Amino acid sequence: MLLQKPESEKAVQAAAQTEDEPLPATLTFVLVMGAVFAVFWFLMFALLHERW
Amino acid sequence: MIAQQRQWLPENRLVIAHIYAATGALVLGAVFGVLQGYSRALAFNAPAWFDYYRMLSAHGVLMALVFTTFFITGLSLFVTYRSIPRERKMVLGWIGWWVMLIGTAMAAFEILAGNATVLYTFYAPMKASPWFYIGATLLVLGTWIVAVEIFENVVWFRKRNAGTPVPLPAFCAASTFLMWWIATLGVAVETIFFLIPWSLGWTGGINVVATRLLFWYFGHPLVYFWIMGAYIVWYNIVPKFYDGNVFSDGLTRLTFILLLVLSTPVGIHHQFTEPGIAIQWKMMHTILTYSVVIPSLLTAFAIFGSFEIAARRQGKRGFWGTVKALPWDKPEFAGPAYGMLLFILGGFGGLINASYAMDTLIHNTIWIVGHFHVTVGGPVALSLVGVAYWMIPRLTGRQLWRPDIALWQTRMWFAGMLVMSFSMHFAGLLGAPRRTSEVAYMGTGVANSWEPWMIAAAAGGTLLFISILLFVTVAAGTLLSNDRTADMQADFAEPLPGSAPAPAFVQPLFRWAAVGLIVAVLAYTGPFYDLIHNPGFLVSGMRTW
Amino acid sequence: MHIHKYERWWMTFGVVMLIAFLLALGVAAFAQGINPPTDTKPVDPATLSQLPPFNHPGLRQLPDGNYEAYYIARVFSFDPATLTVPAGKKITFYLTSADVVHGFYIPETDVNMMAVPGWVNTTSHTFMKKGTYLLICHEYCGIGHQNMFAKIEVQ
Repeated sequence: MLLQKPESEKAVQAAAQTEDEPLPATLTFVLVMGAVFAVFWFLMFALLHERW
Repeated sequence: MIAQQRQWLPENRLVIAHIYAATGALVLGAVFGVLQGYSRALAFNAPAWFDYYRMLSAHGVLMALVFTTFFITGLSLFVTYRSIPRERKMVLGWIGWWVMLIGTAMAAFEILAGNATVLYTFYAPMKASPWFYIGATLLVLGTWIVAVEIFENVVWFRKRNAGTPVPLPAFCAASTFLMWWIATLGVAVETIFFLIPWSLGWTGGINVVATRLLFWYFGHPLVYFWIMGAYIVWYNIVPKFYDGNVFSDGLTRLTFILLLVLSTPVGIHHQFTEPGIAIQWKMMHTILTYSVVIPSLLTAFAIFGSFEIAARRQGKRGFWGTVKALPWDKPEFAGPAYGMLLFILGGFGGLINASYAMDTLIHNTIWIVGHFHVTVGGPVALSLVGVAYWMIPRLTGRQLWRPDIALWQTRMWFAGMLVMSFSMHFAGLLGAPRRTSEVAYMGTGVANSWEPWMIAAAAGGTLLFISILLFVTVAAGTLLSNDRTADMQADFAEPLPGSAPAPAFVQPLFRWAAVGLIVAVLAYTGPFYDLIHNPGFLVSGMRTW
Repeated sequence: MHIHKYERWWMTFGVVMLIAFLLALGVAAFAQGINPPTDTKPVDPATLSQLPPFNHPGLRQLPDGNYEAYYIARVFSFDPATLTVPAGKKITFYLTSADVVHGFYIPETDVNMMAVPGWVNTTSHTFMKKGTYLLICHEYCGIGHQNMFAKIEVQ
């Protein structure tokens, strides 16, 4: 329940390594979602100009 | 084990009392909700003695204010006292619960009696019965009292464990309620100093712009209170369902701190199209609203990252490998997970709504209704309903009755919400208004294009209604069951073994709350300064229903 | 705080995206005048029928050839109920309410604003297409709210 504290320099490095294990699926997910956000937003922006 | 369970009894009963009240509001609200859908689809005509707008007021108050508030309060108590176990009588908690319940009963009675058909935003100068405003105020005051139990436990832990971070679930719950305290100050000032004296006839007129600013000072952080309730579940509880971990303890705390500080100074994005607020304040609140997107971007990565790490442990890789590795057959997972999917749509819509002049595309159209159903009615409600399937056995010791029905309940909710919300968004872009009993307008021009979408929305609403009935059936079946073999132990997700500890700057919760209050006050200093110099006219108010 | 490399990329992407949106909104606001409706002029709802210009709601032409349209919203109608305006001319709408809060929305356009008693609200629009436009109240204002609409004839 409580946080585990890295006890040595080695533990800190080990921690950094586990965390920086590549997460390709996560990166794909967020970037695709972000790109769709951006496209959709600019479509609505175009509609705003269209109706103005 | 048994001794431990007995120790938790006072807290368990209080949490169950919150779930009962929330579920009662959910069922009654659902009846009114589905009837509204049929009314707009021209399949139902509300009788004159119980008109559409009375149903709409009841639906909004029961769902948005009563269901969410009771459930999130109960959930927050639960995670606080299970992550910091401690024997307490919960006297304040019970007093608060009763104050909330009495307030709800007063407000609900006045709505059902037709004396408060002012919707859950109660915009002055439509003047409701004073008992409605007093009831709503008591609901809020009750949450303040219950919240003391949460803060008290956190302070108790800190005193005994100097230098140790507060357990993450309690940290999340406490930051949610600190944000709630800051936000509800606005509505408390609105009702106590403006609406109640005015509706009692003590003051002749009311400053409409002041009441609207105060309402939305509360109205948008209210939304984030719901979202934080869902985030408590997503970060601390859901990972246990797939043997996963909290992606990052530090980033989770940072997410809650950002929400605590940035949720309140954003309310004017609900008021882009109204007079009495200068254009620069509208621009400022656009930028501030954009800043509160950041904790949700952090959350998107953290949730999927936690999925991917757990999937890899099972030897599954890639995007679809990760998705397939998740336990979609567990209702307590499926609920929140479908909610997360809906929140992607909610995020799209929210960015549009917050975008300054772009608001004129959709302001007060039924797009907005689609948006908040795919946020509070999607990620929030599905997460709460889903986590109830996990909490109720842990509160009562009874095994969940018919998990298969519970699973179908979450699926129906997801499908119904997709259909209803998409139809509403689309009809809104075509111009269909919200908060209107029917949208025929005597067949004038563009109004003809709206009706098919209203029918589709009603079909989605039907699925949602059935889904809510299934939820109540499963919950009641569990409470009536004699299978008292459930494990009452509640474990919360922990950070990855060996991961870095959270940095010190995210730990001082109460100091961050002070920062949040200062930011909120600063964001509203400009518009209120203007209003003091140029107050406009007081309006006497009337009853228009 | 240790932040995963990919998460740093994602947050950079996200923040750049938000800044790009804000810049687009800023350019639209400052270069093209695309702002939400706003006005900070008070008006006494009790004396609307006596004081110009709201004592005679409707259309008037300005010396530069453009038009102003004055509207009063009240339960449950708009005054004027029908307005005839020319196509291709800029119309500036001035709106107030005589009683409670109302909405003022012309579907398929960006004319979307609130009528608040005690205040004037304003926005403008140039109708390019001829025909009948629907003008609806899109803020709940009472039992007859669904019947509160008007027409704009563009000729």
